[in-house]
Amino acid sequence: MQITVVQALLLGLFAFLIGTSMFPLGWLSQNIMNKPLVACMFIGLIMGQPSKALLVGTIIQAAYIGQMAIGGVSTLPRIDTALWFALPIALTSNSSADYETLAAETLTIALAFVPVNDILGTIGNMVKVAVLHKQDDIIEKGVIGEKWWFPVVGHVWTFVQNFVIVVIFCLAGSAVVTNIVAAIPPQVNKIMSTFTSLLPAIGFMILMVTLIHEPLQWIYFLFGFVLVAGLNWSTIAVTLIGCVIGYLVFQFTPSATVALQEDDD
Amino acid sequence: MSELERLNSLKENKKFVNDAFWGYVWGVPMNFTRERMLGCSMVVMLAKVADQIYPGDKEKQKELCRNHEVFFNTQQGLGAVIYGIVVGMEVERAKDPTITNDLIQSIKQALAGPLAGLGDSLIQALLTPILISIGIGLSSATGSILGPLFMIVSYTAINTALSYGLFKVGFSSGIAGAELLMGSDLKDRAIKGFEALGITVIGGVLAGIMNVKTALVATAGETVVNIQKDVLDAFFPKFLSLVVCFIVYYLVKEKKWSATKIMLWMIPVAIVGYLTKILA
Repeated sequence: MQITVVQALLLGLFAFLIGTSMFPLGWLSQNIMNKPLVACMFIGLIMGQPSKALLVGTIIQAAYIGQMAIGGVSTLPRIDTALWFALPIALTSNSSADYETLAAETLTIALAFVPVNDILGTIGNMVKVAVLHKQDDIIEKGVIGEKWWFPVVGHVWTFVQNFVIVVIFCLAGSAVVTNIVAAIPPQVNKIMSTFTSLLPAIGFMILMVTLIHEPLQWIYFLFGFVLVAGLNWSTIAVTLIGCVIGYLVFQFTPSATVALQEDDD
Repeated sequence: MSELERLNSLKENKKFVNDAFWGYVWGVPMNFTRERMLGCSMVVMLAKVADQIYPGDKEKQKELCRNHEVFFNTQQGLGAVIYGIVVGMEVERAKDPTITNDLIQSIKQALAGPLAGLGDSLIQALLTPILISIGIGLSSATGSILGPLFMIVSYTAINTALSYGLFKVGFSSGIAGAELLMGSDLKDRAIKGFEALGITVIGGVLAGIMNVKTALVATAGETVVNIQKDVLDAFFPKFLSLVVCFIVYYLVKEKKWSATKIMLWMIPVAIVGYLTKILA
């Protein structure tokens, strides 16, 4: 199976739109549209395999749940561009594989692209700085309200980094990877599945490092874990119980001012 | 209408507030650079409303934008209150020359740091992962499209309410609004409650998605004991997943390993684990 030209163009288009962080509602939707599970939904719909793409997406999203950008610096290697060609290539080159193997294959391709992505990001920053100073110039010329949107021009580079790269890799990479996958012995697929079963620990534990302030908070974690692992509760049910616990904690945490008054007494 | 009346009416003018708000919404993702980070978005927002603050006065409009061509960075959501304060103060400055640019800049920069810290821990590390966890939970069994749709709709709705609310508070009540946000005791208790909710949900979703197994079997004469099925699942289902999590937590927290380093180490662990049947 190959990625068609129309599919490649659509993948490139959505990779670009989401890459600008402006689609569909600017800042209001910015930090959710760039999540792997959302990308996997679009990729799955374009490739005609939404449920398989989403199952792969849940594994990658779990590994990336702890990803944060603090001061513009990402806590995990950035795969948001590479995902747009890595998953379609995995889906077409190894269509009979289970989704755990596909997730490992997708991540392998995507992570291999990280150094290139970082270089492209650095060039992109230079392009955007040039646009920034161009904006200063046009303001000095008195063109202000008419071109308030001028900095959007910086996304010319987002177009190169996302649309162009994704389309080229989808069209050229698919055949190459299909041949490599055909040559891989079946044991490697099994090892890949083992590898993906370990992955979610990374994302979730990076998150826990920021969330856990006192050892007792591990009780909440273990409680949620046991509800699902031991009692097979659904996520919605755990969320509802979590809300109740959260509300009780909110109600019974003494207010700082009250605590101070009691100290005075 | 005198100039003063016109400027006073801006405070009540819905169109003006909305123009500024959308300038901020579109400005934030427009041109984020290492040099000025969110500085560009502040200029975008002010450029959009410059003609309403100083109608026809290009020199004043230029000065207004030029003053903000500097580095600025915060968490964009809670930081909405700063964007609101800046627009509000710039309107005040147009009325009252004793309000200087230095004053506006120092308030802007002084609020940026604390709000970034609070916003990163509240929104990036707490709200977003809770919504993602629920999204993963909705999609992980059948590959349902509901997961990502839930994430997009719920996050955008909450973020819109939060950003718009804070922007308006900043615009109408100025620094008092920010003080209310930062100084409130309610905030600290709410964070504790949200943390409890977040950690519980994360524990649940992790148990649902992670499935580390062993292929080890123990044979005693005729009896074959499958360690995973007969021992671990009976004792504590997903016990191995929990063990892997604690090891990773230790490596991140105590050994300060990066995510990439752990990911690279997981490859030989998977190979050796598979070959020795310790992992399946």
